[in-house]
Amino acid sequence: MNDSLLQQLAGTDRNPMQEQEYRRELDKSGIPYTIDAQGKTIVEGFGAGGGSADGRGFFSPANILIQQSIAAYTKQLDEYNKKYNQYTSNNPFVFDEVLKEESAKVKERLDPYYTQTLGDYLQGVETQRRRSLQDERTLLSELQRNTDTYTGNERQQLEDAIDKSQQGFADAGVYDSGARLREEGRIKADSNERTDEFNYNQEQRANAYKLSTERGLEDSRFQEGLKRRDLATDQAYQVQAQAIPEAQSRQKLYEFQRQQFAGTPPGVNPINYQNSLYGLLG
Amino acid sequence: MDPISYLDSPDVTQARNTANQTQQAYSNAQAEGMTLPQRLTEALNKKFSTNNPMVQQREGQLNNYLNVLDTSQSSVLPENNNGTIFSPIQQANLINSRRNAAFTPLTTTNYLLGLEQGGIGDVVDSVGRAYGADVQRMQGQAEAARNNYLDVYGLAKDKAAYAAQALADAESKRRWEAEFKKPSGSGGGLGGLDLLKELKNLGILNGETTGDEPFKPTEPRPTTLTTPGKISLGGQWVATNNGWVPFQLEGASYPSNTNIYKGMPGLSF
Repeated sequence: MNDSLLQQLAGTDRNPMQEQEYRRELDKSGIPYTIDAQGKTIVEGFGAGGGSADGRGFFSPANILIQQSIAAYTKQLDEYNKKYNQYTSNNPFVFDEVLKEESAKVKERLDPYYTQTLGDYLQGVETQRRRSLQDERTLLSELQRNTDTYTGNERQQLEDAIDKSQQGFADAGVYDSGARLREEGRIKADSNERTDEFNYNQEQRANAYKLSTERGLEDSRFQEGLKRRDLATDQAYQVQAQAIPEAQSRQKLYEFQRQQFAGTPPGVNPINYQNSLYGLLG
Repeated sequence: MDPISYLDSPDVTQARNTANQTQQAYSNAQAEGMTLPQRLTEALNKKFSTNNPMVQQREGQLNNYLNVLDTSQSSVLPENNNGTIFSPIQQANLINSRRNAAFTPLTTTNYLLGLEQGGIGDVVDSVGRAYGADVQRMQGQAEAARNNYLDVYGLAKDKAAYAAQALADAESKRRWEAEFKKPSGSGGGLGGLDLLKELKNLGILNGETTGDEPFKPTEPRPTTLTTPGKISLGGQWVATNNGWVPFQLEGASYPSNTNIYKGMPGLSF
């Protein structure tokens, strides 16, 4: 079989006119080419040709059909990629950004729960603190009242004891004796000793109560700190745990919409492709 | 009757036309059969994807799912639940449940569409097999018509061979009489065998074929195509649908000088 013009030109060291003719033949056959700096026509897979290059084999009818098929497929693929990239550049998707947005949304959604939970806890704690302080104040008032009563009674008893002692010394005619003064001194010292002891005990009880209240408040503040920390940790976890799937869901949706925009890739059955595409959403 | 008219007889022409038509129909059907599955698949796919209510149903379900994706989060907020505040896990469960409820019909429809689409392959297979049977039937018809044509043509060729031989003999006799016959009483004259030998020597008749050896034309194969049945200038080729094929009238031999045929009745060059 005679060689075609393209086969002949491909295997020739072409002059400029032949080079032009070669390009026309390539155009007619739909074979893509580029032109290098020396003006030589380059066909992918064949190069500039000429000389010993096997133009007969490369540009055989079957090979031309293959080349045309590749060119057609490449063109379709380029168009598909163009649309795909167009969607991507018009609608950029940055996972971290989307995750940030979704985290904010989830946080906003979960905030009422954590606000309520912390509020309920703090309300309990505040009540407890208020009651402790109130109980302390009540107890200290009672202690003070007891002290006042005791002090009054003790003073009365002291006066009675001194009166009684003076009367005894007066009846004995030794009112002015040193013994009366000594007896009165002893009575007063006894009274003072009892009062001091009573006051000391009262003070001890008041201090113990204050200490207990203070420790209760300290424990309460510590528990509040723990509670706040636990709730913050839990909220941070829940926000992330729910925001990540939300971001993934948006990513799937984005991919679905991008594929729908780009259309069926070349060489793929459109119905099979559409059916598979919906699988992206799951 | 001239030899060519046998080959151009209505019987031969009709048999040839029938053979050509059935062969052409078979070739066309065979070529169609090569691309039939692909074209049928494309046509069914197109029909399937445009006029299918399930495809539209799937579109609707997709829109609903996209809507639920958006609204499911706000659906668990206190303002949409009479002030009830759900825990994070309760919220996540409610959101997932709403989304699953919207997604399930979509996946079901998609699955069914996949099954339907799989049926297209079965349809294409069945149609392809039925069409293949038709093509086979047409092939049989084409072969029968060709055999019939060969039979009719063979018969006509035999008749033409006899006629051509008769013509050749008559012409030889005429030429011999014109060129070599001596006046009576001259003592000359050639016998039948001598005459043939002499004609060969003069190049008027080429060598004879025995019928057992394949005929090898000495005339170059014509290069231009013409109507089937046409004989070449040298008489050694006949035009057919498959191009020029060697042609020999049985029992005849041909002079290398084709001018000898010029002017013979029924032979056009």
